[in-house]
Amino acid sequence: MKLAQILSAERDDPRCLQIFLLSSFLIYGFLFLNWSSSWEVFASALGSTAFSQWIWIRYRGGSLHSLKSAMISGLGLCLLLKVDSLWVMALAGILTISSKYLLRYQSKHIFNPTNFGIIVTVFFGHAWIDPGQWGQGDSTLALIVLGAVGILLRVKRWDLSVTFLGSMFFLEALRLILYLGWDFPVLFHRFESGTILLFAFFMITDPKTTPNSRKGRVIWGVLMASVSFVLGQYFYLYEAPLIALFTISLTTPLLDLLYKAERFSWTIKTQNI
Amino acid sequence: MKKKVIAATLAMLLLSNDILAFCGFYVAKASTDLFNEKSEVILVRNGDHTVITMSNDFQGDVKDFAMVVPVPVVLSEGQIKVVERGIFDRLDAYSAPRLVEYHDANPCTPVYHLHKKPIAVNDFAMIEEVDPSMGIEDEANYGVTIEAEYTIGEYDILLLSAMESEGLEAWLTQNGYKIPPKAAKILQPYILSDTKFFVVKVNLDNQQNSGFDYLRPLQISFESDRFMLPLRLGMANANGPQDLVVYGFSKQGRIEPVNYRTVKVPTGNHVPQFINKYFGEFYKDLFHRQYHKQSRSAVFLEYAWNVSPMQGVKCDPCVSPPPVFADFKTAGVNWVTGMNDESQVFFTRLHVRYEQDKFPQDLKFHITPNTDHFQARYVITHPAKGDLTCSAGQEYIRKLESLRSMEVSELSALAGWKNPNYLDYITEYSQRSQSDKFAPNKNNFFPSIVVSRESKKMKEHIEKWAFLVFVLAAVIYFRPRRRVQLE
Repeated sequence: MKLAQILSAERDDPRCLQIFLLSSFLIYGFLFLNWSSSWEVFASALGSTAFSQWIWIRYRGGSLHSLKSAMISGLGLCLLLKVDSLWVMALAGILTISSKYLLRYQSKHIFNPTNFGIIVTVFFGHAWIDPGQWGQGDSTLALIVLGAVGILLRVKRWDLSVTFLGSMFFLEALRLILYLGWDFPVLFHRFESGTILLFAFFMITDPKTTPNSRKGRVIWGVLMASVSFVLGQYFYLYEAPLIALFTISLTTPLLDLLYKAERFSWTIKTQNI
Repeated sequence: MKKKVIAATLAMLLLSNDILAFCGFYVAKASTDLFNEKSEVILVRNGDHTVITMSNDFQGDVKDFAMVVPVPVVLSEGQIKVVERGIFDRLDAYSAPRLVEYHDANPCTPVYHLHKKPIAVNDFAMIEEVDPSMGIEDEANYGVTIEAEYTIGEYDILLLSAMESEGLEAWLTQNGYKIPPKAAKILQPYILSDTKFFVVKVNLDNQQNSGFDYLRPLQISFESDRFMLPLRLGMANANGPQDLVVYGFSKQGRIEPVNYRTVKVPTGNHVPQFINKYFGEFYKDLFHRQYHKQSRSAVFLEYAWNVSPMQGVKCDPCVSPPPVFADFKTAGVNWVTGMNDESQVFFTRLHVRYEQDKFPQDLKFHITPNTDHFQARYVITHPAKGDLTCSAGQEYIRKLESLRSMEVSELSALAGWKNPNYLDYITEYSQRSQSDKFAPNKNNFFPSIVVSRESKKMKEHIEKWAFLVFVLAAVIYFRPRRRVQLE
């Protein structure tokens, strides 16, 4: 009976679904996309995020339920970051979690944790991302979109994904099709890439680091799409979306100040009742 | 029970890879001449400095040869060179997929006999993106500016900038270049992104005086933050897929595409002994299968190795000598100064078969800090020679039969080759009486995995979609619920 209650409660936590979906992406990549990473690297990512989260909980207090958030960050690192040694991955994990506790403004962390860990380690040159790793297959696309529908219904951040992808598509269509005169397959090929979809649906939608109000999120999404577009098209940076997320995260406190709304809490439903 | 299975699998892995992999001799290589519609490019990148060398194996009359390459800047005369053809042959030979052989020791008289087999030597052929025919130059205002004009080696080179694609097309046609109909549309995006055009034809006098009966590779170097290879122009006049082999050099590590998926070709597989006769065809079929297996949209990694002068082992085993100082100099790897720690060079060989529907974008690359070594190698095993009548010898023969049946299924899985006569190969050493020839091989040390490749493609799709249905079920299970709990 008790177990049934726990299961039922966990089922209402969107983080469990998120963990399930990210793990299935990882498994899918290994089974069908010939990814080559070792399990030690994954263990290092998951272990270091969980361990640093645990240390911070002991030090700052907090619920052990936030270990689920740490696991999501760890899985995010597994999916996106490639490293040349286990220690780099461990460092990325520690940076990811510590950024949540150290870089805060008005009791809300500023950077998307996974994004922060990735940007810093890539900057030091021992890690990289592989934007092509998802390829452009039908079933890959279906899997990510399916996962996106599942999770966005739960965390209510679909407005952000839609704004980001919509503005990005609009800007790229303007440049690639209308200005440069490429044909449509060139444009579609960019948006069929699993990496951009994963980023739009799973990374930027982290409810903790996005603006609290819908208006704020729409502005945030448009800003991010614009920065990402400029960096990608004019500076030829393949990590453009990640850098855009990193810089635009700095505007979150401002947008929260302008457009007030209730802060997101993972357990909001049970708390209210 | 489970433990047993795991133990057996581990033992197999040890025997098939670790113990055998420490040595081995190269017997054959699959060089690029097996692929018909193909080009080869050496790509060197250090910071923003890029050196591109384009191999040129134009087969027709040299006076019909012409080539248009989009380049990001106007090149000065010093940035264009003609290099010797041998560099491509050497890099290809060094990094080609290889077949290695191992000799089993006779378990009855355990002595090692190692023999080196003769090396199969191949050279290769390629076709660059070609717009044939060239004629008189006529000045007219098409919005086309001749930014520079050089004669280098056997080539007459023009650097053009254009205002719009119709003008460029008209200018090229006016000047005797035959532009394929689809190319004009593709020129436009390049013009608008401020690309210059590097236009090449053969200077017939210089070509006759040069004493070469072929066209030498052209090398261009420039500074640009764009790290890419233009594929689209070459696709305009192509029917069907084309092969491109990229030999990449960087300081840090592997060069990988950012807008396409990189997949390693299968490596380390055991194949039947007779493959040494057909290795070229074997690799060609293997590549073809992989190409389709990855939905025709992947870039394949065939070789990756640290080739720095200070690096000890540059291949395992070596097919041909690794690049030396002279090769680095020719290829444009200008940061190599000698035997010192600054001269770090990492070599990557990528093989891509591209067609417009699956490769709508140009190939964009980045340099990763990934310095893991990789090579495509396949293993053949020569059975032990001599008297095998001792009990260990009998055991060996049974294992050999299992190994060989595994090799045959690998061959069918990798290259799709099937032949009823392969059965003779499997049972070549088995001593069985005619009456008992269907007796099971009970000492099946290597479990022979029979893969039916006909159903494989279908099966893979079913697996993929089954996986999706599973995820869908979970998403439905986790659906948002409206719960009213009054406590």
